[in-house]
Amino acid sequence: MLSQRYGILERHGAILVKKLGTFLKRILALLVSFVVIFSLSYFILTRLAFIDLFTPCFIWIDGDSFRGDVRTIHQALVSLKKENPLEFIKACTCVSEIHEGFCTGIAPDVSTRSPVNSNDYVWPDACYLAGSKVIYIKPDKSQSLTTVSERMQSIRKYSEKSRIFWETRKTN
Amino acid sequence: MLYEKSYYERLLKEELSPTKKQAGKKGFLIKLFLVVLLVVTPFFYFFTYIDVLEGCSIFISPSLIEMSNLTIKKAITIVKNYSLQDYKNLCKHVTTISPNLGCGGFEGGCYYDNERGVIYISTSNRNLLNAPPIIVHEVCHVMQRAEKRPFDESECYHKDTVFWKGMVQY
Repeated sequence: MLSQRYGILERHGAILVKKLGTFLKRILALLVSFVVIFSLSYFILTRLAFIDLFTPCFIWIDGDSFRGDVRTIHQALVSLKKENPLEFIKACTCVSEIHEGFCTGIAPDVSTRSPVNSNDYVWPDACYLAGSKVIYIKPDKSQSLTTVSERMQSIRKYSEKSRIFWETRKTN
Repeated sequence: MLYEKSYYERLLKEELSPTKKQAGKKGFLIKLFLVVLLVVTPFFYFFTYIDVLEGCSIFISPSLIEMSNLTIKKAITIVKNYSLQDYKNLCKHVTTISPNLGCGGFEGGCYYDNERGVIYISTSNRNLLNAPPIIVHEVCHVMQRAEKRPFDESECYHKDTVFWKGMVQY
């Protein structure tokens, strides 16, 4: 009788251990897949955007792969965070996209809209698009510290313009 | 044996059938959800601009050349934030924006008199500098038509230039 009971208990125990094993395996599989998916998404996203989980900050970066280099934009944002955290937070709030592109179109002192007719005009290195949170920065392949610093100054300057636009719009 | 047969018949009629029906209903709902997720959502995302608060809905037709539908949507938002009157005119008089090439060529826009409510914005993908002023330019032509005024390019060039100079801040 006792051995029979012991047998039942043993069987129950074995079933319990098996179930627990299956449960732990599932949890482990879930954790692994979560880590893999998260790392992959993070890897892809960091190529397309600047991400800082601690601030938090998320800025899309649309690079020019032929004439520019997005790495200097990333470096510029990191430098801005180190040098002036408040300005960095402002950039994170007021800028959603940074495009590597020329601000060509209609020069403020040129009447025609075609850039061909305004070749003499020296286009600025960057600009801000009012009504959006978009900044354009002139493409630059150079990875020098000067480029990083210039880009940082541009981000700082045009974040301020974006802030002014949105605050004025709010008060109006 | 007889008892068993009647028992199973009752089970089938009374208990199994509703479960099957429920399962069928659940399956249908899942399929419907998937259809909505995979077909309807991308359609609305890529081919429509909808602003419920302003009562604005614009169809942005597909284009294999430019594939700039999302840029056009962003450009409309810029027009809304920067020049509300132009946005209201756009919403009131334009039903379709075509990103295909029109008479304006690449990086241009076009409005045909015989296509009411349709404007062509053929700016390249991701070019946010040109798309909003061109929308303002074409809306100007749409307004000329709506107000029965003569077609005047200089008025619309002036409007898009003013818009551009205000929008792009150095």
